[in-house]
Amino acid sequence: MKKLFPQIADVSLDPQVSTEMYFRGETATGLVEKYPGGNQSAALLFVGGEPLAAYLVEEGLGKSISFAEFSALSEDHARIVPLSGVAGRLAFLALESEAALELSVSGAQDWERQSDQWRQEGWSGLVEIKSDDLHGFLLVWQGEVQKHELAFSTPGGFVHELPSLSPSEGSAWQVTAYSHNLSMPAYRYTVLRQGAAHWSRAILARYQELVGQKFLQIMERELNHQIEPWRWKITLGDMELRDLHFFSHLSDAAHAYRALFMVIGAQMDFVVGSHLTQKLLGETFEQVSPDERAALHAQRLIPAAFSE
Amino acid sequence: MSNLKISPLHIVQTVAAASFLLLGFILWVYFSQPFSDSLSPFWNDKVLDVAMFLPALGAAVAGTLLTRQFSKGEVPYRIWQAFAIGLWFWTAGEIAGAVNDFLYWDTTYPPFGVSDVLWLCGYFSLGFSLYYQFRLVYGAGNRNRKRIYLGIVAVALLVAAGLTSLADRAGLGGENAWIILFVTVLYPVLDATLGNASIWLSILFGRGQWSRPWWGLILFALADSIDAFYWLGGYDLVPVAAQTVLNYISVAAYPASYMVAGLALLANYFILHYGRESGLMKAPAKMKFDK
Repeated sequence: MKKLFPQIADVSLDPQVSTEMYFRGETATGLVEKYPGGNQSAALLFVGGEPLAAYLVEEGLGKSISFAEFSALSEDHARIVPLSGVAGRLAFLALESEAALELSVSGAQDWERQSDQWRQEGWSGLVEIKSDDLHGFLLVWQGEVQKHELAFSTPGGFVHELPSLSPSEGSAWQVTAYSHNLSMPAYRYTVLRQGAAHWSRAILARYQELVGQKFLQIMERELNHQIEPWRWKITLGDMELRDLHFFSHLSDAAHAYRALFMVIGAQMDFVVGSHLTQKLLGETFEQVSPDERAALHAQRLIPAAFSE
Repeated sequence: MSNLKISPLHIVQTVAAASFLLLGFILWVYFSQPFSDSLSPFWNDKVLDVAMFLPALGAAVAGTLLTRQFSKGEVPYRIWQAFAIGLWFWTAGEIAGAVNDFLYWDTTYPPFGVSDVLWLCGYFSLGFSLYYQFRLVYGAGNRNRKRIYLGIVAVALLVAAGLTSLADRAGLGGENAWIILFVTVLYPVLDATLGNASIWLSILFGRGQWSRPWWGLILFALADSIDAFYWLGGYDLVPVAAQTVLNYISVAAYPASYMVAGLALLANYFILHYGRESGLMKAPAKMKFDK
């Protein structure tokens, strides 16, 4: 029976309030877990108050079910867990993934060794870590642990950084690496998000080289100011796109990234002119990995769209 | 603009208006010579020297202000430092030229003096600025860039040497030494080189704010190429009306080049220093898209 983020106490609801009403009312992101019996569990994921997808999980493998099927399952012992955007995204990935590798990590050296192997292989995928007082996920992308893509539940609540691995007895991590399945919506969203992050980083690094730190800061301020009304949990700073938002649909994410690249393009047009902006956008687009580039391309997030 | 009593936009607009008036004044003093009658031709010339010096000084100050907006490790720092140094050399050249006018008013100028050294140093500094800018745009990793830069300098020197020999044979140099004639020819050749490189950069940057200081160098090249055309006897080939037009363009383009470079540098300085509060940035694009 799979239980996500078990250290987090569930929300107890007034009997008059349904789980859906709770999430809608709070415009919250989170999940509802039900335990129909046997080795099964079911999960319904909410994003910003809207139900996103429901899954029946058996032997660690999630299978998509309809909302009606989920509702038909017994409400007894239903568990409601509010999640941050990042934790929600990782839970979404976990529910659409299939375990590919399981191992036990009992010390920092073991973890380093495994991380080095992923780095050398340039491996991308989701990693689940479980221990007595810890459960969570992190995303490894092109061999690197992504610092904004991790969430762990602990007795003290959620943490969004990799906890230290103490060598004490009984604290070994059970690590599960999930295979990367590009056909699933959660992975397609991840590839698009990573593509937007990598492309924007490459653009901003080159832009800073061309015009200096101050112009870059002006652009970052301008962008943060312009996207503020949208209430996306996305900010730009130190040449990095810090995207903590959970978009329920790929098109919504594409819409947000389009807005970001439009502001970036407009600022660059103003400072270095359209010709150089085109050149810079084109050069940096080529630096993005082919699968991320394809994901950006599929959403028409391409250099030609962001310069006059 | 809440913290600023006078907005940078207003300052730039005021400086632009003042530059426009000064340009009109220079043309009036140069062509009508009003002070020749009321004072003397000597003082008319001094008024012109001061009027030419002001935009040069303003551009050099603006270049220095802009340079100070970057930290020393940044590549743009080197670009604008070299640009500002070049403008300071030329400002010093303007002063040296004015001193020459004062000292040698009743006699002929020495064939080669401090002002020539200052002008040439200015050209090479501005050349370095262009080199750094090109290297940054096309990538510093390419080792050929330095060779290309040295190659362009070598070609400019060879072209100047070739033209000097032709001018010498045609008797244009009078009794001056070959090297003096060479320096005289070198000015328009360097102007053409800087001017063409600046045009290339301007095309590359489009209408971007960052390209505008280079527009000043294009105007310098225009002014000096008309002078070179005159010096090579080209005026004999065009009607008097065209000569008058060329004279006006040449006299206007020279101080205008300092003014354009200075205003662009000043605007960039304000944008870097105050950001959106400067009032010099474009209004934010409306963030409306179809999902």
